[in-house]
Amino acid sequence: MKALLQLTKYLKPYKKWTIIAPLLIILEVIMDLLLPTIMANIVNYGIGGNDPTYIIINIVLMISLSIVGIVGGLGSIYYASIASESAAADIRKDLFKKINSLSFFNFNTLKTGQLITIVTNDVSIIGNVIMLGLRFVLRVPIIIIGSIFMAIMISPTLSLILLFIIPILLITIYVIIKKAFPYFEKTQKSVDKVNTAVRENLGGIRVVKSFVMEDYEIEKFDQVNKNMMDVMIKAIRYLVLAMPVMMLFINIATVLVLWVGGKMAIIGTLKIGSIMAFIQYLTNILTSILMASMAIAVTTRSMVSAKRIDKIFSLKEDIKENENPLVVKKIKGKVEFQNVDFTYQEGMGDNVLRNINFVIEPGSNVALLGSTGSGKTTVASLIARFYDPISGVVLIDDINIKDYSIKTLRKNIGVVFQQASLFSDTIKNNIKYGNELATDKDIIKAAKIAEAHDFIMKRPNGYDDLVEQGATNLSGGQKQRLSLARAIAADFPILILDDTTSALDMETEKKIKNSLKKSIKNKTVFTITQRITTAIDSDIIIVLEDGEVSGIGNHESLIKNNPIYKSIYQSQVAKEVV
Amino acid sequence: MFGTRNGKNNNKATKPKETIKRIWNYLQEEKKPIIVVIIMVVLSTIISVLSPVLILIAIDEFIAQGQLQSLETLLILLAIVYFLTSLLNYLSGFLMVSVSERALYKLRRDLFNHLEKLSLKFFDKNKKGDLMSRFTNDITVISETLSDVVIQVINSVLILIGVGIIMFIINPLLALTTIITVPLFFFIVLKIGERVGRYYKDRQDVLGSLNAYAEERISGIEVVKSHGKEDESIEKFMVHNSRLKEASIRAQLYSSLIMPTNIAIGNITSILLISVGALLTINGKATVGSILAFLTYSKMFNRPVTQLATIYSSIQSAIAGAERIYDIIDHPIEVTDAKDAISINKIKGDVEFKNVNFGYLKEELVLKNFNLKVKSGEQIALVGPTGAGKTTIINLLSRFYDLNSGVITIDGKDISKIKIADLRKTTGIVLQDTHLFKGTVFDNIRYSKLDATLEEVIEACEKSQAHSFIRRLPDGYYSEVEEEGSNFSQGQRQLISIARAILADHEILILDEATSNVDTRTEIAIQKGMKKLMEGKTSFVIAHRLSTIEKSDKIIVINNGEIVESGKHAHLIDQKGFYYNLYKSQFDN
Repeated sequence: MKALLQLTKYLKPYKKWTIIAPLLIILEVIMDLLLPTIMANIVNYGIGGNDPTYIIINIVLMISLSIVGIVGGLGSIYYASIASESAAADIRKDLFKKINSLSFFNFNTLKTGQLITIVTNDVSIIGNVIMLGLRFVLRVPIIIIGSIFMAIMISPTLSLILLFIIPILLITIYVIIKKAFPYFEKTQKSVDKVNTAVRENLGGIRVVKSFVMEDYEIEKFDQVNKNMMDVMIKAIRYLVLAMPVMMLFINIATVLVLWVGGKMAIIGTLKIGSIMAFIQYLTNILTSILMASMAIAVTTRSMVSAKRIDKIFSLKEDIKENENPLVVKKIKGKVEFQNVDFTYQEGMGDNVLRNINFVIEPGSNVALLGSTGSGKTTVASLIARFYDPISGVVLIDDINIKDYSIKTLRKNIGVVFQQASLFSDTIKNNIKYGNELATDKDIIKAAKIAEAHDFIMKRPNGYDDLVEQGATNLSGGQKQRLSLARAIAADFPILILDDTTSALDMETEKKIKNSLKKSIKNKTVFTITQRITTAIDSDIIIVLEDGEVSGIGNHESLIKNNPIYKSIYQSQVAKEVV
Repeated sequence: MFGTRNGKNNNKATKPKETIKRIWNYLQEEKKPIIVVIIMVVLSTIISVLSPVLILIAIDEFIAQGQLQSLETLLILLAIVYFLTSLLNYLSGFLMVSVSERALYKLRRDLFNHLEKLSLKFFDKNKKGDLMSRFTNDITVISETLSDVVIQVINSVLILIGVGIIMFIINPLLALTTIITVPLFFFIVLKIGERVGRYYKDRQDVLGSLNAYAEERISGIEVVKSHGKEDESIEKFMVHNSRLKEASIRAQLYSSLIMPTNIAIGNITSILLISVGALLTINGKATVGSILAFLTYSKMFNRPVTQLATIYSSIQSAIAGAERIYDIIDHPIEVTDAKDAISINKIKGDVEFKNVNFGYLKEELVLKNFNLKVKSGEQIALVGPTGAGKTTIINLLSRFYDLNSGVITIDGKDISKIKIADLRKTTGIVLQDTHLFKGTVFDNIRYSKLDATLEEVIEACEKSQAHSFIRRLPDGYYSEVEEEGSNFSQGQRQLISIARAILADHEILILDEATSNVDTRTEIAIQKGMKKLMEGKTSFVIAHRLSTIEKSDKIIVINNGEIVESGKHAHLIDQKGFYYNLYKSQFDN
């Protein structure tokens, strides 16, 4: 509830509409409340007293009142939808901003799918609830109270029926919701299971087919499918119960009113027209109660969404800028680690990096070599300040990395990841993503260095060919080459290549390496790899083993002095070439 | 055929009659309950149409005349009638839920079964997300309509007829007064309904593009951040966002219009009735009770009108959804057993490609006049640059695709004449992209042999070097694998899938970059296990790292879909050709 209330602050900029909408509703409700009484009057005094003038006056009154009511109703919808959807759009905007400001640390624990559901689904749900709230928050109570008031005015005796029927109705609704709720939770789970099964089969269709397991999968799917059917039937059966029960209440109440009211009318203490009006009010009250309980149910369910939204908003942004961050246009590219320790989760075993020290001069070609889990990628992430070390400092151009503005770092340090993400746009725009000023010549040059030019030219529209969502129209190797071209075009002084060529064959990889070397001279380049052949001719090789630097130097010195390097070399190359 | 999902006419049905008939067939399998439901709906409708007459009698005859006794008898009858209506309504809904859910179950079953049988060509062409959405969105749309439609249509039509008749019997003038607003009413609701449908569709489209945008920027967040482009991302997002806002306001506005319109039209009818009724009563042509009865009837009459108008648009979108599902179910299965397909059981493992031509798109050949003869027990390495056609060769051997021309034989038999299931049971594949299913590690490994014991599984894992890491998992072989194996590293997933192949013990073995994601030390260990596995078997190995295939019986070097060289390692090196250069580029530094 707290989370939901917090989100109502988004209505503030739309205060006017937020207030007008419910006020207009009051107009509509009051008209609705007056109509039955006027009708009763027409029957009681107009028809009963044979008074045509009275009838006409009252009819005119009714018509004017309903016009006012219609205007109020439409107006309130208009303002309520503007207020609620504007608030929802603002929430969505802030969420997306927040997501963009989060650190890599946060993304380790968040899944993309989850975030998107929050930005789209959950926010839509909140928007609907706000709309519902603006329209019902005053309406329902006013109708209920107003109708009860009018009912008592007509006949206090008859109103005793309300005293009897309302509590029973409330209890019944409560019982149905209480019973049905667990079933609806189950339906969600069963739907998830069916979706998972389908998704798995779509993803692993080759495995299924190559092991000839179609029948087995069909059988497996049949189970979750059947389960979904069973759960659905059980849950919806409760839903089906609601309307008939509700109608029964209204109808039984009507019978009671006719009975008690009829007796009174026969004695002469009540007019027939009043019975009619009373029945109207009674129906109003009972349907409003039903509406209120539905609104409460919807609101309750929306709280889950509000909580999820709140969770994102309350995430800590753990990479923060200094108050007066240093802005540098082009850095030189010196990188230094001083006693750096790092861990992703404090208190969980050994630190991922322990006491890392090294100095890299601008323009060096550096390889970070080590086996899976040795900490290579982590070192690179610290250079780009995706994370902060838990102790020690990272320096760039002899200045603590924390003193720079984040933007300076991002504009000067390029990282090319193993998992290449491209955006749905033309190939050209993808390559110039990091450098909007890049000319066609720059773009082609970058693509050539990344060995992407040839395959781009083979595509129907060359550089103007579209990359589809998720880059499904490109192979893994092509994606990697484009993402490399993108980083080259951005012209970063420091470039980090994290296993960027893993999907390429050795020959292409070698070509790229050679042209990279030739074309980018005064850049500091870090190459992360576990293949010694990739590292071997770098200026500096940093050998990482289990989160510690085991050796720094070039190939010649390491092969002599570093036993770990030597053993990697022997296992990967020596045996094969010799 | 499936590319038009985002087309403008997404919600328009193209062949509604046929589709309705097919869905009706699902329902027809449940004839008995449906007949019972129909009878109950008819009964309850008749009763509910008659009950206002009882009220009319109660007021005009008994209250006005002061007959308390008769009033009480009548009210008891009325209470019973009301109770019966509710009971019947509940029971018919209760039954209908099972009927429609069973129909949906069958629809999902048929869709899934057909999907499993479609060839890989289909999955190449259609996006996973699109297929997923047919299972979720389209079926949901149908389900929302299916359970309500039968009951509501019968109910609405009957009420319209019944109430109409009764109104004319009671008082033709008042009946006319009530009905006069109906055409206007129907027209307004229908128009609003159409707009609501259209605006919701618009909103869905805009939401879809916002969704796609957010997904791309969030899953590529490291690229956005590492290029310092957060602001640009947010700016573009805001464009999508404000479009969504406008579309949502419009959709909200129109969909919320229905209720006040209902109320307003109800009020107009009531006022008309009272006016006309009052004048008629003064002239002695109507009674107070009849005005009251008509007030009830006018509400009863308006409800089915709204219902029919809204049902109409929901039926429209349900049919469109159903058509998208039938698109798949009607998609022909391309790779099927030949009519005279033969069974094979144990094979020797001779494989031959004769003049094979193949392209994923008919006009773009990937393999050109490809010939290859492999003797049983040989280890064949397929080598060549990215995109040369290596993976295609093994795709064809398992008959994931059919050839453009030429023949592939196993033990001299044309594989297109062999039962597909038998063929695939003789060939084991370990792919570059490994796929694990939700379940335990144990279940995942014995996926290839469902009756394997734990001992057999452990033995296979020891050979593939997976045993040592599985043993260290909290629940060992019974540890849970999450969806798509996301809780295992790529290397671990690959070890598991190698174990799977070892356990299956196929006569022909295909390893497509099977060790590309494990580090070198592990790879060397796996090689040992592989060697044992491949002993005496025909095997095809694709590897980028040439060091892993040097000892193959025959190395086939492929470039642009053709064999450029073949022979043993030493022989190819001596030739100083394509292979020599490939090899040199890897090791010569």
